[in-house]
Amino acid sequence: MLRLIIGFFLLMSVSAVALSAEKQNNTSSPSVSRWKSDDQNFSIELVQVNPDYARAVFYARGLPEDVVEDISRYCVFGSIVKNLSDSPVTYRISDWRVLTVDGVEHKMKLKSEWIKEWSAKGVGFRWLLLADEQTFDEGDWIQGFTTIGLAPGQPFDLHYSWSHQGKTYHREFKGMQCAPAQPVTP
Amino acid sequence: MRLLNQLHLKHYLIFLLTLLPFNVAVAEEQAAVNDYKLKQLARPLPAPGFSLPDMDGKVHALKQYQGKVVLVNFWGTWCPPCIREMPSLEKLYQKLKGEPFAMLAINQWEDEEKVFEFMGQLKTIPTFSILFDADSKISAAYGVQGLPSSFIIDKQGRIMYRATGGRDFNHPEIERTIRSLF
Repeated sequence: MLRLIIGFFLLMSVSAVALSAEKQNNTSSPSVSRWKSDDQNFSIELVQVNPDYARAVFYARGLPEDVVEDISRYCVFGSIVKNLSDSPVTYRISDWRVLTVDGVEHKMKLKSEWIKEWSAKGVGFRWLLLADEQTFDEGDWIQGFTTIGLAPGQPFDLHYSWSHQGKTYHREFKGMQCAPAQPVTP
Repeated sequence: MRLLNQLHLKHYLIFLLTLLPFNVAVAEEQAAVNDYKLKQLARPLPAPGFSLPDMDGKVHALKQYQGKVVLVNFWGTWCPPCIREMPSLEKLYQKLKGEPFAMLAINQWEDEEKVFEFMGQLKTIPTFSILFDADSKISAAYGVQGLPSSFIIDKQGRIMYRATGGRDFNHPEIERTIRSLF
């Protein structure tokens, strides 16, 4: 009887873990896909942004056409990162890796790289993009776009990391995909 | 102009459709965080000075607020969490009216026309000062990496608290923190 009870609770625990993992995976709406994880005091959510949306958002800030077109050629994600703990959490995008199905490793294009390019064109804009790296205190969070030099619809795995209380955590989102060139009609 | 033509009605509809889930996600998720927590600086820092125009072109210098506690908020009309926290900033401002307190919301990259248009769409129109940091030099001096970001400056002009990301400024804990500096 005791074995049965223990077995039941073990089964329930495994089911709970499975359900929790499912929630962290890709949840799709008819028009966009998103990937989300809350793990070890760090929350990350990435939402597909199609090229038209990226173009519209940057254009609405009054940026020059070449700047707008440059960014809309990238694989863009709306990104939300948060500290879920009461002590500092640090992320550094330059440590993150994008692995495409051909086995090639890519880096995300950093905000500082965009700003350098814009600055060379005489554009002083430095908003909308997620900061290269940040240390969040309790309650801190931020949202911004992240960019990868991949084509619309291209699949990849994202290997990301963060640090909390002297320990670095590594996780991955498997089977991510850049937004399609044209949004999927609901 | 060519780009404007490219962004015809269809694109704007697509834009609205795609914008919705992202903003909804932000709003949903924001409710789950400790959205009233402020970081107290272990060592208070002198607040970088500024002289910036408001909606009417009147210049506000930080030093004119010495002797008051000042909440400086960096924001933009395009930033959903900035918009979301705006009513709570106004509520806090109303609660602390008559106290040695000032609130300065420093807009980034935009002009009076854009912000005026935006204000017309808000349910709660802010009555605190909106200033313009059109070239983002002041936000850079404060080390702001993303919007919104807020700083609480004491009567001596020192940064005592900061917050990255949206907060519920109407929370009693934030009011208590500010009152503790009076």
